Amino acid sequence: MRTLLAAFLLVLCPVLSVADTPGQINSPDRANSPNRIVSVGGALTEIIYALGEQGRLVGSDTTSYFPPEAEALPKVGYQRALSAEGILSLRPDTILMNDEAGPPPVLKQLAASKVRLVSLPSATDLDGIRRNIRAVGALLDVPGTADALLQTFDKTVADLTAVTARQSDRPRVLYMMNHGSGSPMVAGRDTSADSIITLAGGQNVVDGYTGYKPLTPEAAAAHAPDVILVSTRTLEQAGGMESLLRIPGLNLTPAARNRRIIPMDDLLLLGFGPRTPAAALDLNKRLHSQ
Amino acid sequence: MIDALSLSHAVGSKTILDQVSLQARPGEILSILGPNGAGKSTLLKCLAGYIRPTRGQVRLDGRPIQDIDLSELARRRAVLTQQIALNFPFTALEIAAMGRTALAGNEPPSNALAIAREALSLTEVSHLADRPISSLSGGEQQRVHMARVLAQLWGQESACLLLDEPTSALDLKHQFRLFDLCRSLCDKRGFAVVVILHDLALARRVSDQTLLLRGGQAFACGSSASVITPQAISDLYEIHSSQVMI
Amino acid sequence: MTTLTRRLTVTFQDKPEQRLRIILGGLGCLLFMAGALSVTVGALSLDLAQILSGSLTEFDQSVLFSIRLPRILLAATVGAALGISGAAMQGLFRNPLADPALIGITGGAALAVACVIVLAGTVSGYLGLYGLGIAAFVGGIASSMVIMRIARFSGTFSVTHMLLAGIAINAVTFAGTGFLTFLSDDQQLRALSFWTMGSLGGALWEPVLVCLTIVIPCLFVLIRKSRDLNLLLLGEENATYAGLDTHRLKRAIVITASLCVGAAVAVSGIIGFIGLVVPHLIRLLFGSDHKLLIPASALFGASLLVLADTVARTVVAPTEMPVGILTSLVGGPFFLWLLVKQSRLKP
Repeated sequence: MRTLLAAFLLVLCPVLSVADTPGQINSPDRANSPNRIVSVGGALTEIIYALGEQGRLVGSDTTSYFPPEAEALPKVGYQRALSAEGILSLRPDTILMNDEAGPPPVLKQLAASKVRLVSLPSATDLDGIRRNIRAVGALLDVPGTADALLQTFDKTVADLTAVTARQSDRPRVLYMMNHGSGSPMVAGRDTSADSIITLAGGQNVVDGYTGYKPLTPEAAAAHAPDVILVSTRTLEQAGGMESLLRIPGLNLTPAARNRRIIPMDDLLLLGFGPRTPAAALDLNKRLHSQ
Repeated sequence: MIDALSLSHAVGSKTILDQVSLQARPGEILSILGPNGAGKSTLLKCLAGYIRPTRGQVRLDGRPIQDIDLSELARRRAVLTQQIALNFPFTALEIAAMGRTALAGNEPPSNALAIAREALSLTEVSHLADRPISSLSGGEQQRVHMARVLAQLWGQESACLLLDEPTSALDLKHQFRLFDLCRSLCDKRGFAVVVILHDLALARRVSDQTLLLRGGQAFACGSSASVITPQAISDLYEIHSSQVMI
Repeated sequence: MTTLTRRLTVTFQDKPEQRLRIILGGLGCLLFMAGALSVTVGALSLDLAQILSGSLTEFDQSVLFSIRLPRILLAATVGAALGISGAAMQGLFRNPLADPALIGITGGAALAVACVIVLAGTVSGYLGLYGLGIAAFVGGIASSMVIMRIARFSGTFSVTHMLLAGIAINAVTFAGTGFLTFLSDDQQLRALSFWTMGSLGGALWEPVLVCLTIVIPCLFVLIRKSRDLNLLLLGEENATYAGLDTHRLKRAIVITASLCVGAAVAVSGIIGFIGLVVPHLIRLLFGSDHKLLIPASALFGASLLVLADTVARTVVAPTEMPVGILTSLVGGPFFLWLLVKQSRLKP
């Protein structure tokens, strides 16, 4: 009844509820460390595994598929289409999620259930990843392990910087993904694909726009990338290397002539988690292997 | 009583009615005859107040028909149109009761049903009351709708009844029954009946007045016996007089 | 079932009011039982005895009050809204196969939602929470108003013009949505397609109450107009002769149906087939009289969507299925069956 009354009040004065949006979320608290966590977002789940704290996970979303064991966790759906009751049925004490989790009304329902919600911004660069590793370490009350993980992380970053510093050429890369029908989408500036290409010592051929845009055949030919980077799923959907090379426009690029298509897993490539420096290093090797 | 004063109606540049006048008097049956496309149905719609003629005026009980509100109009005149397609499984009784729906004043539904039942018995379809209308034959449906129209004018004196080819699906027996009913409404309750017909012999036999229409104009008008003559009919329908059988 | 309804009809031949009350009472019980079942079943199962005695744990209580109850109420409201607007549309178009989508609401709502998802980028706060709902409502109502406007171009409010305008506007809105889909990135596309599949997962008390305050008055308007709707089935000309102001009726029907569907789409996305199937079933069982059809469609639509949503949130727990998929999955074959059955009945 009290809830009903409160709801009526909320309807009467929407101003009240503006203050009550899911944006403000309880900050991590060292004192009482969580034991039943639902993790939403592949990179966050990876961090928990990398910290060796996977025993505290009771569920995750469908984007959490690395390491392979994570696939066996109960799945609460796609990160942007969560179900409040589904998550709560796992009886978590904490829900750890990135800022893409949604839809907003479900977050509000979760907030009303008094389970602790911890939202971390999705990392788009190395510093962001470091911040998230530290935050998760603090949340799980294992700051020491987090520091160790960060050391390994920074070592790989140092290796990567050393390698890219030695290289003079910056291969021209086009990142492409395909969702179902229609033209493939190509990454412009301010995308995670752009970031990882730069990190790996490559150069995104697209600098005329931000975000992902559908590819026109002529533009693909005009950009003349040396290498085409795709996600493994896109390659599968396209029907393998041969079919991909036959996409109009792409077939006219230097990349297609030299058959330089690099497939990489989406989460590894774009996830911006603990594996990112290694992924960038790997991509760097593949970019420079003629 | 309906007075029509030189009605003309045009749609675009096409003239459908051209200065037609008529008077439907209480206690009389007026039949309208004419070849296809003569404007009979349009004339009836004008008389019913559904179409407003481009020129001329229709008066119901002395008042311009467009000034009377729909619900009051519904108590003073009822119309039976030619074909009514219904995709929904209403029973005959429900259809008949619909005649009472939109009348002013609140009538309890049981009252409407009682009237509907009596109306169904007048048109001899009481035994079909609970059958879905779509399962009935064309003639039976026509009689159910006639019952609805009668229910609409239930209890009214000297109202007007406009019928557009009400006999098209009826057998001979029911054609005569229908006009016996109309005649008794005229005699007992002072109804004015206007009916569009194709059957010349029937028209001559059952109606008091006849209006012959051709090309939207009144071709002849007067008492049925004087208007429906072999000569007039052969001129009206452009057939040889030896082919006319009345 | 059919024999039961026959008997109801025969027993209460001359007491239509009593028959109406019995049928509506029965459907009310159905809705109550659906609600009771739905309260206890879910990803988390709650014990009805515990709920009634108030001995739930604090956690279960917060799940019950902040998630499950608003959701059940929302399912019932949306189901009722879709049911009555379907019944009203079928009456207006005098066609038992008409659907609320005909007046362009779903198309307009989908276009507005696509605009927000694809073009507006990320919004937060109050707009982030309700932006899609508000966009859907505004888009839906706007497109139905355009259709109504076009229907009146010819001077009178023509149902045929309205149908044609509806088809044209739907084509335009779907093309617009298609274009935005084409522009969208992976995540926007997923958000969009989840929206079009319909879900009641975002039920919060506020939208539920707002939705109720729109739907309940509409329900009463339609119940008041139910006898007039019966008459309209005879055709506009005949209804006019019987004393009905058909233009006013048509406008009232379109406006109430738009408000209902707009409110429903705003809170739940596109949930198909309830609007088509529910009135149809009621007609099959109890006849076409709108006096019964409208309230019965409300109760039955509510029960059906509450049950469908219960299934949607339990079968694949801890995640859930979009309920629109479920209703279309069951509704589609049912619709085909109706078509086949109807064509067999006709000679």
